[in-house]
Amino acid sequence: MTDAIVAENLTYWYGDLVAVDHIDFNVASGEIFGFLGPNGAGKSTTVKMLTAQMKPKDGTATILGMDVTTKVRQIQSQIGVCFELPNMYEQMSAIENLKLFARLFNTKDFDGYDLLKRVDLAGRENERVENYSKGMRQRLMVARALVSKPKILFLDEPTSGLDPSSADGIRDIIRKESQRGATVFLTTHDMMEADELCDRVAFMDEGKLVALDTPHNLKLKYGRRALKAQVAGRGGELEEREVVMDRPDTPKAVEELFSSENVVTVHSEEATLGAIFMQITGRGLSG
Amino acid sequence: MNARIISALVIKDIVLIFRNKLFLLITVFGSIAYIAIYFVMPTTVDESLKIGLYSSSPVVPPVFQNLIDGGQEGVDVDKLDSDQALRDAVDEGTYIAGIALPADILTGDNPQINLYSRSDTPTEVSDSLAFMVSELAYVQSGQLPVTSQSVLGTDLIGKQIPMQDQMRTILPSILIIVQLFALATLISEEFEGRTVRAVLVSPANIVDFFMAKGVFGVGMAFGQGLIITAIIGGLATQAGIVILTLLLASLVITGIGFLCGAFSKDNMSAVSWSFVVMMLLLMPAMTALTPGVSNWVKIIPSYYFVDTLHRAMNFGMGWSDLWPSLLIMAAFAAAFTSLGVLALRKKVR
Repeated sequence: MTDAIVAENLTYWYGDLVAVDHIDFNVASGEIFGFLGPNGAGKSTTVKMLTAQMKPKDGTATILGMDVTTKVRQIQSQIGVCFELPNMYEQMSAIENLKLFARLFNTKDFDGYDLLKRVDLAGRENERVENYSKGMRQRLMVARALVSKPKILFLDEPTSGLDPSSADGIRDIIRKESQRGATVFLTTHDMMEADELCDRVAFMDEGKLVALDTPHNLKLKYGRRALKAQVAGRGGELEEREVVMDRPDTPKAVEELFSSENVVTVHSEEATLGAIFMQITGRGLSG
Repeated sequence: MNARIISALVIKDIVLIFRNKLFLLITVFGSIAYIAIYFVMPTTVDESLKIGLYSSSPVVPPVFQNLIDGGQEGVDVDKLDSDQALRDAVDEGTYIAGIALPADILTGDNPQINLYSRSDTPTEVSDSLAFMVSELAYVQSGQLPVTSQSVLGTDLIGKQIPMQDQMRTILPSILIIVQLFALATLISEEFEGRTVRAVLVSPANIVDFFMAKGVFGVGMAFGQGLIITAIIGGLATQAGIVILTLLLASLVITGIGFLCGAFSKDNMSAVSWSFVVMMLLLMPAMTALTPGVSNWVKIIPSYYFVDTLHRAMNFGMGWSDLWPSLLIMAAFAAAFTSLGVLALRKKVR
């Protein structure tokens, strides 16, 4: 698999503030890559450099093998970007918005109606965006990012503010785009979403990349697995028992639990990405 | 620069601007109103001065009676029944001036003649009237000295231009200046709605964006200015100079529109900025046609639109007379478009 995105020593600063501090990573073609971090971590600045909106102050970044500083138009014709905040032409209809961007991208065989059907906006195509709800606008933003059938999709909080059903619909689209061969660069605060969708995730904190791996490996590396059990006491009351996994004495502890206790329920507990992020950075994603 | 992208962005701007209710009101209804105003304006100048006259003497002196009987070309004199009626009629604007003759006009040593005029009566008219009355009184009684028989001040009869011709100059200028509002609000909406980011992360680059806005701004201003000029017959004389003036004016307004858009934080401030600048630009449109206009007006770019159109349309002046004004307009156009693009580029970044 070739790399769709490569960042080497990528750096950007605003005055004295180093927003992105010499980060290195690569994203393989067709991969769904989660980019996680609290507000102000440097995610947006990184995305702006990768989408050729800003030139890196140091280091390099290539998109599909093209340098972001010199091949701006070529790069931007191959990517689709969904911004976190809605930025559609409000006084135009949904289909007019999509047609405009199809013309900008010179998309062949463009079918805006089909695209709107995919994001569950069929029947509302000719309504002006100013009359859309927040969720409808968000779905339209995703549709606009797909207009050019991009090779790389940059999605910034694409399910933010959506009801569970709509959010599932967007996640389904992300999976299908990945199956089509598109690379997805997903910025999100939703750790469950990242865990569910992403092949790999990167944690950003204070401009630095503090972790990068598959969710599974991150859990293995940083998380604590445990077996949680409820046992019945002598008087019939329920008590909690926990056996920490991945230790040398774990098999013996499990055996003892089942031989000496009256086990009522048992379930395993895995670390969440949120907990791992907190473990690594010492703070949560909201901060 | 990509023609396909620019044309897509221009079409988008046209769609958006015609969905802006305020712009529609100003432009479409404004244009209709301008044309209607033009065609209801008088096509000729009423060159006669309407003057009221009251004589306290039972018999109006013959030289003044001659005036009432239409003996003086260019002066219409009506006789009124009382001094108060004369004052009231002048005050209401029925007459541009009034002459009140005393009872002893024929017999007194130094008869006192009262002249009434309104505050907006041109000085030239009242001075001329004073001279005329003195002359007639002298002719009648031989008592008042005649010091001069020349007409003082500007000879308005010779310089007046029909109202319709004045509007022919002013209307296209106003219409072009009003486009400043449309362009400034359109640009500020792009920033306020963050749509400029969406456009600039597509294959459209900043040059395409500026070109599209420039083509739209110049196209709207020039197109509308040219259409209304053609409708009101402004291309009949010195068409080349008129068209070039409209084009340069549109470029100046586009540059100023860029600046207003760049300095506006949101749509409301764009409306406020463009309104203030529009008022400033409209001043020369109102004053440029007045002889003896103050020199300070000449630092306002729009003075040159109106003045050049006026000289070309109404006096048939050619390239040899007007090239300095056209050059000044070209310099304004270059300066404002450059400043506008620089300000917008900074804002985009």
